[in-house]
Amino acid sequence: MANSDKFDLKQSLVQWKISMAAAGNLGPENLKELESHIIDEIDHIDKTDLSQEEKFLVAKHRIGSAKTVGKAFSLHKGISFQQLSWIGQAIAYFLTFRILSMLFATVGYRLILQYIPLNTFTFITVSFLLHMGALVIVFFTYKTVNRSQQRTQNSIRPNIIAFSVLLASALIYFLYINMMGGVQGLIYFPLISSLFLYLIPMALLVVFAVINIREWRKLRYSNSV
Amino acid sequence: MMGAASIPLILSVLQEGESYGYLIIQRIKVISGNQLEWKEGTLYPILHKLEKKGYITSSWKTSESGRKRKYYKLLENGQSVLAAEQQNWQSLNQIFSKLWLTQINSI
Repeated sequence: MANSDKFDLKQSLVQWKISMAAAGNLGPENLKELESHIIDEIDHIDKTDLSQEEKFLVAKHRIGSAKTVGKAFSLHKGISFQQLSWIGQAIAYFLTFRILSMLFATVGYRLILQYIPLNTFTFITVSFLLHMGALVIVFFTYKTVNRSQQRTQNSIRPNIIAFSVLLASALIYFLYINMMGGVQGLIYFPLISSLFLYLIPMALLVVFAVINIREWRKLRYSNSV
Repeated sequence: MMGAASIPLILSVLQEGESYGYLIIQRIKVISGNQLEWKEGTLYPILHKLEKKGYITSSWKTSESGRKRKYYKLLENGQSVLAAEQQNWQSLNQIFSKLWLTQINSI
């Protein structure tokens, strides 16, 4: 017999929803609907000799594991919002790394060349250190975002953080290039770089902002009903 | 066990009147004499798919006890799909009955 003294249904439901959400294909409204289902299930289990914890376990089993339910959702939904957001985050982190490393390289070479003569060894060392610097920043941003995701259980906030970092790094880079030589600074880089550095990140930001807003509206709607 | 039968089953239950996930499953369990076993959580993606296709519609409602549930209702499109499904399944039923009857007789 399970220990009913320590069992907290509300807390167990929260934990269960977290594990279901971790399956990756369920949005806030899906979780709300499944929560409603599990409560119905618990209420209708007619074996009165079962404790509330045991009823919860039976109901959980009947609904299916996070893996099974998540898989079913992914089969019928195609690419889900969360999967899309992971792809989006991966692109955002990669672009942030590229932008930061370009920014560091541009600033770094200008500063360092004033003090050290450029040769192959210094070029490779400085490049390596600058790129590593950008990588460390992106890595720690990712870790902070992940911690924030675990703490808040909010799938929207990490995206906002990830895209804010991308936007901030793109803006810093844009401002720097303009400060250093205006249009000349942009000519310094090939057109294709500008495309990758500005147009694609901006377009992605708009796309993911729209997705986030739609998801946020759905969440707000489901909370209001 | 459910497979291709899940869509006509759900539509048939909803033809009886609007319902929510838990109740749809209970109805299927009762009508099948507990023979159909499926993980209940897997019903929802099918319902959402049917809604996306315009066969059913959904709305959140609050029960007398204050509980909020998402109710699903069969639409006209769904009625036509169900009618087509009924014909298909009846044809299949006839085919299988004849096949298996012939096999039983030949044993």
